Amino acid sequence: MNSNQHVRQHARRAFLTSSACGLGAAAVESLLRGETPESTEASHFRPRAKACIFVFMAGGPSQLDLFDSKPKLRALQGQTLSSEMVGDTRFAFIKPASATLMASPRKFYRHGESGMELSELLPHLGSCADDLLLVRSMQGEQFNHHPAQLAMQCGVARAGMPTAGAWVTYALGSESANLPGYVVLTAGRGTSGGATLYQSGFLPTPYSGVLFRNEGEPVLNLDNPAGVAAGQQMRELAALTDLNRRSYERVGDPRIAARIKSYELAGRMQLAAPELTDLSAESEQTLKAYGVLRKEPDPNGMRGTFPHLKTYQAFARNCLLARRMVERGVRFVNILHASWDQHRNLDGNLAYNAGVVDQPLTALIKDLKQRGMLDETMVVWGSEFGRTPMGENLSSAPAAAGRDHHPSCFSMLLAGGGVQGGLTYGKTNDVGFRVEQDPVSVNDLHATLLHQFGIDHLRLTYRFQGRDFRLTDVAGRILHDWIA
Amino acid sequence: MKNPRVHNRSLVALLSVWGVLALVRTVPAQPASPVQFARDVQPLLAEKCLRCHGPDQQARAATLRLDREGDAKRVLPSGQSAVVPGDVSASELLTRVRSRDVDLRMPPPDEGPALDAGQIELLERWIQQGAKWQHHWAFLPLDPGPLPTLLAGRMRNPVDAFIGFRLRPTGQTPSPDATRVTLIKRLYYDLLGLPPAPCEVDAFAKDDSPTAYEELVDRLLHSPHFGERWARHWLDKARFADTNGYESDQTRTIWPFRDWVIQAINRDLPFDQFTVEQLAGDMLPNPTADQLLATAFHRNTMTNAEGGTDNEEFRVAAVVDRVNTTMQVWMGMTAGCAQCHDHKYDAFTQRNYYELFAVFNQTEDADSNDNAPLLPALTQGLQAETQRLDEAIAVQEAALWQESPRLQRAQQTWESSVRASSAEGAVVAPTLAYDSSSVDGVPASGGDYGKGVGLFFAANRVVDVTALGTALRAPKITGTTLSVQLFDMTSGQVLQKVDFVSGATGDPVGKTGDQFLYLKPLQTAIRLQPKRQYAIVGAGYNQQNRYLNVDKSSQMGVTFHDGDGALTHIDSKYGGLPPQTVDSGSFTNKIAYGGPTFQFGSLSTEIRAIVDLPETERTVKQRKKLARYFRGWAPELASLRQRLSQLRKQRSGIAAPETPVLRELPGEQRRQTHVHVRGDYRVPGAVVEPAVPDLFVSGNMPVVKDRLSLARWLVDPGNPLVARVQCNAVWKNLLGEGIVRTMDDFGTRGERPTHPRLLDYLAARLRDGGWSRKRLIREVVLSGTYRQSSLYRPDFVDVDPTNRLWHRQGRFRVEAEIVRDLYLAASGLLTRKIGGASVFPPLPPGIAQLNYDRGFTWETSQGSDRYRRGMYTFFKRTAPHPNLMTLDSPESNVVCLARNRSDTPLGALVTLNNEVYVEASQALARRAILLSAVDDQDRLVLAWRLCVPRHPTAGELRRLHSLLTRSRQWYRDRSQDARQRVGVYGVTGCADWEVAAWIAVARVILNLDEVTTRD
Repeated sequence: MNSNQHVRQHARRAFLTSSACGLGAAAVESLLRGETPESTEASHFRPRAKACIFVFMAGGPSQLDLFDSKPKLRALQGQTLSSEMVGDTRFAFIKPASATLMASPRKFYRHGESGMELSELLPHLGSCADDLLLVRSMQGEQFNHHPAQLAMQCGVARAGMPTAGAWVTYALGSESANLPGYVVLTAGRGTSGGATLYQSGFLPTPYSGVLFRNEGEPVLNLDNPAGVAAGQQMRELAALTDLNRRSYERVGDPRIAARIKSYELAGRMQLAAPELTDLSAESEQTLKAYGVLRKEPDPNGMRGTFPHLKTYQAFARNCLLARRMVERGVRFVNILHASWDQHRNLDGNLAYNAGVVDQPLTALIKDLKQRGMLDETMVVWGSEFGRTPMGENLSSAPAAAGRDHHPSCFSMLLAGGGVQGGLTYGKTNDVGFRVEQDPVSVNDLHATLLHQFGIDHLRLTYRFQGRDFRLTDVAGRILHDWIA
Repeated sequence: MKNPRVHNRSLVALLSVWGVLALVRTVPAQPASPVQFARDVQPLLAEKCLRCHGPDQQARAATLRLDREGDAKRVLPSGQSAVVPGDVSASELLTRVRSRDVDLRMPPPDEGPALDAGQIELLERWIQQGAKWQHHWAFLPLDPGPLPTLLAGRMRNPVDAFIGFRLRPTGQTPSPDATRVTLIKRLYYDLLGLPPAPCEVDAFAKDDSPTAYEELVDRLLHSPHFGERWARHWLDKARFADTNGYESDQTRTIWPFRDWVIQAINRDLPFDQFTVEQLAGDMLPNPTADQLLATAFHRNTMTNAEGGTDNEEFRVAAVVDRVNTTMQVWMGMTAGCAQCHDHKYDAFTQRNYYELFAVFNQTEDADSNDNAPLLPALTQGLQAETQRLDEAIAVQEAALWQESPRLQRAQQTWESSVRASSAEGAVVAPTLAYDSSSVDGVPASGGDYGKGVGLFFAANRVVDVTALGTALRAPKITGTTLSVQLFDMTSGQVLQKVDFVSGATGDPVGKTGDQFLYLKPLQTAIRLQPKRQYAIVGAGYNQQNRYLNVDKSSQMGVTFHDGDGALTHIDSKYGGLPPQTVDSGSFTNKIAYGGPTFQFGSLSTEIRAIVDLPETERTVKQRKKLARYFRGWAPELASLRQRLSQLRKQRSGIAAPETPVLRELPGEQRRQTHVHVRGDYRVPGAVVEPAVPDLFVSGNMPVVKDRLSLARWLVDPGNPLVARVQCNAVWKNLLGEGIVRTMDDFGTRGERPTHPRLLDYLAARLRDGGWSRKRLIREVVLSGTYRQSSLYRPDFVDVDPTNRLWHRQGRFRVEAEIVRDLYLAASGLLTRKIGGASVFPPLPPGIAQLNYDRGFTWETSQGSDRYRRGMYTFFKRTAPHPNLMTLDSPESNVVCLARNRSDTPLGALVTLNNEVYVEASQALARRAILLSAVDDQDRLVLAWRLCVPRHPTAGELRRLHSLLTRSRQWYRDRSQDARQRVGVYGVTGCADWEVAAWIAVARVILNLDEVTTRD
């Protein structure tokens, strides 16, 4: 290898490893070994999924009122749970000795050929039940929001760790040359974890989630300064590239080449991001299906909502944007929606929130399917934990009207990306207090998710402080029953 | 990127480890060279074997341990020995690694690929040569050995001898010195994080004195900005942030610790003392306030204030973080693995971990929401400010008591008006009081808001005086008073009483109409809770959380409706303090109208009596009393009083900030420490006592029984690791990479130093030279190695592609904060104030709300605080400033030993388009226009040199000039674009299109790679 070749390869390594728009570490490694730069080439085995849309409902939706019907609670309404059943379970607020079981007022209906049972609050979702995998046996350990959210995103309830989106992008990169590989969308107010729910932890910065904003420029700093029209922008960037190139020729530092490239990419992103967020090319039918312009119900009295946030419309728009992103090669989309923490006014708040999600999520799954994208796009809907079958017994409010945090059993939904549709997985006991069959940990979920991307969760590691870290920490089973 | 391994990870990892060795071998290249266990064999065993045959008891397979000599060589239950010195064929280790039988082969296929031929050959040679064992290099005593012979020429100090020694066998020489312009830029960037002014560059370039460089170094080491630059490196390790972390992520006052670090580094506090004060300042005999403040280092742990948490859980998490951080920062070792099980690679057991945990387990802090214990401490800067204000207040007060005939006449006029009025007040308006149970529309108190109990008001509660039946028709309101009392519902005890009186401190009654009339509190500070003193400006009702909140930014006001009555209104402005445990309150409002301005409250019967006395009959005491009263509100003295009140306000604003600190528990409250089984604090295992792992103990070291002895043990001369780790960090900051490249791992799986003897030489210099950080830095920057050019050298492309031989200086992008500093400095906007509370430079909307911290608002700093150095930007853990994060600032939740350095499109967008950076381009353009009037050429050179110290080449100038010319044409035809681009940075006598064209040039210059690159 002569010097020029070496410098070129070095430049390529510097760029590939410092900018990471486009390629993941696995692909970078294979490139540097001189192999074909196909992202599939970098996988451990044949991938089923190419993209993931992780719809994260911060706060802990009540599975008992949405996914996991417990008719027996009606009979036991008002009774306390036995201390054997409670065991050493910890609760954030309720006192297990006095808290009493509270039945759900919701009716449940069976849907599709599979007969999947879902609550009346999710009428739309029922129409794609045969594409859904409903997991009723999720289990966690953290009963406080932020630690539990970190556990769901990072596989371990510790600060400073990378999220699943960061790991997947680190491994596989983005298929888009103009957009980041890992994108975050939000609807409504902020979450407990804020930006920690999409940071890259010890992975390099380029693998952290890029926030797409609901107002103003879609990505921070995307717009040129005031008074800089496209022509002038091109003129300035051309001068900048020329001057930086002189520097590169004089110094020979491949990092300068990487820097030049990053400015070029920035220019491309300036065009690609607004095109992405411009919904004018979407048909009226599509906009309507997602509910992008639907009527915003009065959020008065609903926890954590404010009229100016237009949560219904924002969430619908985010679902549609997620599809557009995946179409354009974005690897991992995280949609965050908070305010499922219903200690009080569960009935009203849950109905409101279910309304936020039901129609757009259904439209997303159907839209992906209709476009032939669902096979390769995994949609995940879930939260950091579920809620207790006991009502919340506040000293000041004798009539329980909400439920406490409950990580011991909760439900999640998956669709696409090669998972089995129409399957209801796992079972909780007859009062919905604990998992009775097929428990699933977040590490199992992540192991299976990575598996669908063609990644062996045991082999996707990153050495930090002397230890090879994994998304699945020291656990994780691939749930083959989930795979179609 | 550090060792990314997805595919064939072990192989890739090995390559990166062997990369060093390969280079080492190309140097001496003698085939029969003795195998060195620590250098050659141990890393291989660590990588391939120790996961299952290492210190971790649970994971150990076949009772075989390969991390200890005795275990590796003993006879196993099978009758064989893994390692038989001198006998390859009898060594089971070799049989197994060479085996082609998948059932026998080690490592087993699912643990990783087989050893390659080279690795097997290495093990064979090692066994043939007697299988000698060595302690891991990092734990051995410092051994710089004799200085290699200095070569003539560029060898400037011993550092160069070590570097030259390794370079010599390649037949190559180090790079020549960088140009003088590059050298001054490099020193400014490294030592201050600021650019040199063009005149300084020119003076240095021309100075041919042999000591010029050294003098420059010494000058910069004495700059107060040196402390800022190097404090920021340390703050990465301290996981410094302005908020508590976790869900509610509220603001904490920890910036005084940042000031402490800056000052400590500026006064070159020796590193051993720097260590002891931060880890255990509170345990020193008669500690000073600064020594107590230093312990805030370990109060940068997160505090979980979420409702329904178990404080013990998060206290334990904080102690765990302290153990891990201490081990990382001082020892370069990862302890965290042993929290749940024995360390897999280094002989560090779970028990060892909890012995260290026991050292840190005795502090008072316990995850309480107020971060107690807190240290109220005035920093040096604040002390000076306090003194200045005290003096100014004294001067103004003297002026207030100055006699004058005009004042005398005014007092007499007022006295006669009082005598003319009948009673205590012209009119005493209705008094109304209510508590939360009696007033309509006010819900009773409840206990279901988190753990606070609040006084609940309905939204926008307005208590209408007229509605309560006492119509008040006031043609002209002349005075008012408002008294607020908060009760504890159960005990009936008055928790707090605040009186507000109009004009009490001399302000005229505020204007009426539909404006709020803000009242001055009589009482400006009350004590609510022990150790928490609030300056009360007002009390307010918080709409969001529905409790009466008392804090600095709340205001209470009375709304007057001219002519037809008065409305008393509790106004709210939320300020972010936790709710007080108050569940009932009352307020009384009195209003005076008609007549002259009326003083409520303080016109006591006593004053009234004095006024009624004829002047001649008053005693001296009475006269003084009356004069004091009158001067307290007399309109004639209003401006004087206003100045005084501003000064007093400033003075009272300097409450000693209360910084969380460490405080050791007294004997009777000390905690017992157990091993936490599987890392779970709820499953206590064996009881342990404080200790440090035997792994590191050698010779006569202090016995570790608490934090203080641990701190002393760390910096004991017998501990080689701490000095090595610190020198490695300093080297990285000055040359771009560490001598040990794995900054965070000096254990057996980390990389070995590229120059072990150099590292030991520097470490010994640090340890034996009074632990002076400045002296260490000085020695490195005076070396020829530091002064080398950073230009890439084609002749080294194959020999040393990643510069492990230091054949040239490093070249790297500066940190996020410094990028900001450089832009602001070049454009002349930078505020060079050192220290103080964090500031709030502009933040795009929506970012501060990513986390739903109750009521947090990002109030953008005004004036000079908008342009402070990047290190002072307020850091909110759950919503950090994107300008910092995009350019690789650490997330600051856990210790950071090495930042990423990325070049991403998002980073490019920050410096191209972000508000601050755009403003810098506007200001730079204006600066260049104003400073240079000769011609375009002169201005271009100036603008360039404000950003890039070297002169631009003719080609570069031509390119810029062409941009300038074409931008002029563009903007001449587009006046609106030009106006927008110029914004508020117009220049008198210069057309907008001209300024706009210069802004275009400024933006391009500022975005040059050279600006943000330390070269």
